[in-house]
Amino acid sequence: MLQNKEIKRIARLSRFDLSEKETAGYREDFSLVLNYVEKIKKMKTSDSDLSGRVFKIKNVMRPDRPAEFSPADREKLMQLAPQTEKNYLKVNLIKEDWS
Amino acid sequence: MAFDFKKANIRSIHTGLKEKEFSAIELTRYFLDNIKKNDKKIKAFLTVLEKTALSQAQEIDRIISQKGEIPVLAGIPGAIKDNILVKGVKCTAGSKMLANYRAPYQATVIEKLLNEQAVILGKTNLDEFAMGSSTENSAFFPTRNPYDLSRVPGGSSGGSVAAVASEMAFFSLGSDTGGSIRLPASFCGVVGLKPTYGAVSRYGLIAFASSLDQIGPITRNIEDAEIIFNVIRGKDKRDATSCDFPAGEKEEDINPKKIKIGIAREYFVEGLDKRIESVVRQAVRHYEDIGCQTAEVSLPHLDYALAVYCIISASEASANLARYDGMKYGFSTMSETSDLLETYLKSRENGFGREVKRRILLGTYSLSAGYYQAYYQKAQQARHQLMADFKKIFQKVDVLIGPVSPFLPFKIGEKIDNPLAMYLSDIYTVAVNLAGLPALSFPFSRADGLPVGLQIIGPSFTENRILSLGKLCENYAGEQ
Repeated sequence: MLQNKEIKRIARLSRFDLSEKETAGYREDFSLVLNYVEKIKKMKTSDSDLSGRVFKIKNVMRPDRPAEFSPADREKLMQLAPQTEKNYLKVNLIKEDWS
Repeated sequence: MAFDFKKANIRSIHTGLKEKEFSAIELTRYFLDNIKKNDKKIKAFLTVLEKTALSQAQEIDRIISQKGEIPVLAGIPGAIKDNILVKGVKCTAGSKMLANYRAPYQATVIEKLLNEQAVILGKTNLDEFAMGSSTENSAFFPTRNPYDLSRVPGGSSGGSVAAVASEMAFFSLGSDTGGSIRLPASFCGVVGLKPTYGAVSRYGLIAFASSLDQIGPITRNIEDAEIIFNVIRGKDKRDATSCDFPAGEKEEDINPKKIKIGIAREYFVEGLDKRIESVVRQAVRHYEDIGCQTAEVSLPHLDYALAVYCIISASEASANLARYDGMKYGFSTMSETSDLLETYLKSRENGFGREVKRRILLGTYSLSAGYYQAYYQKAQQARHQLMADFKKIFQKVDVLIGPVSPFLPFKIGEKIDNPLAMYLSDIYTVAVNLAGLPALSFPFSRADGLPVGLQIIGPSFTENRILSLGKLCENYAGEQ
């Protein structure tokens, strides 16, 4: 079973906080599921295709022109924003030194 | 009202409207009244669009009165799973994260339905972000199975399915990533189609796992599913993974009795409820009786499919749900947290439910440094192998028949505390999404009074074939 600190590390990577109590709960569930999915290690697979590309899809290109966006639609998007100022989306300051 | 909407299908409704046996308004009101009567118990709907539905219906009546032509789908009232964007309408994905999110654009499938003048009754309940097999993971409330209100309708398209099964909508749209249309369809005795990957545009579908998700129709009968599928499918320049059907089988050219049916021996494992096994074997005998050839085939890696699915879908979900960061839309703690990282952490902790967090954790783990090769890359290789297995089978047979679910609809609360037990609901459905194949789930029979669906799987782009085969057996239960 994974350690609590490992769960906390993955949660931090996933960008959500977990309380001590929650961490213990997720640790059990997660370990249960991880134990189950570990079985794929036993499956014989070919190493030939490591790209993981599953469907033979070609890249779909379009001309590099900005899309038209109506003021009404722009307004709808701004209304969804948690914070705005004048005509801008307002976000938290992006600092240099946080982990 | 003389017209019996209970027994109707899309074509009979279309004729009835044209011949003025009833009006589009009467038809829409019939379903809106059913919603008012039944939804308190069943709780399929998150949003009901009474005003717009009635005004859509009114417009159709106006066209009919002026002797205008109406498309086949005109006036037919449908419900839409709440992870498909209907412009201007709240779209929650069953989550606190989007509880107040109003769709700023229209999904392609909705555009297509509205072009054919279908009527949209409302948005239906689902497991949060389509992650679940019972609709119990909705942040709002669970939906109940119309056959037995103490049981789950299945998931994640539980609301869409329950609405059709209880006559609160004539049809609905759901989405299927690992069985989310087929499983609830089987649990509630209705028809559900998961199209070939790429057949239906995902533009406007809130993404869960981009290489697995597909939108599909949920209906009372197979012909209606076919009609709706033909309306919603097609290449869309806004979804680069969508494509047009390659010229292949036309329905007229398919002779169902010449179709060779495969039954995978790996389906009949210990975990399969004996009552369901007996229904599936009954179906095989029925197809043999009407002249189809059957053959036993092997899917040697089927046992790994669920593990592969868990890793791939969780990995893709962890990437797709990274956008919910409290910055641009959705649940945000920005008014309380002035630090960027704090906003991310607190918004996501509070906005997402347990199951969503579980899957993001698994996905992040599988993609992280040191684990990527053992989990995600290995899973992708395994996926290739599964696709090759199916390709091999389809050289020998034309379709596969099997169960949809290993067990009958379970009681609400029965599996919610055991995530693995819940994931096992999908053992017969996930391999289909991994391989991008089309699959139909339709009500074949009952066991102890509960619906049991049959699954028909075909190679890519053989929807015509699996729909034709399904039609041959469609009224079987009724004849028993």
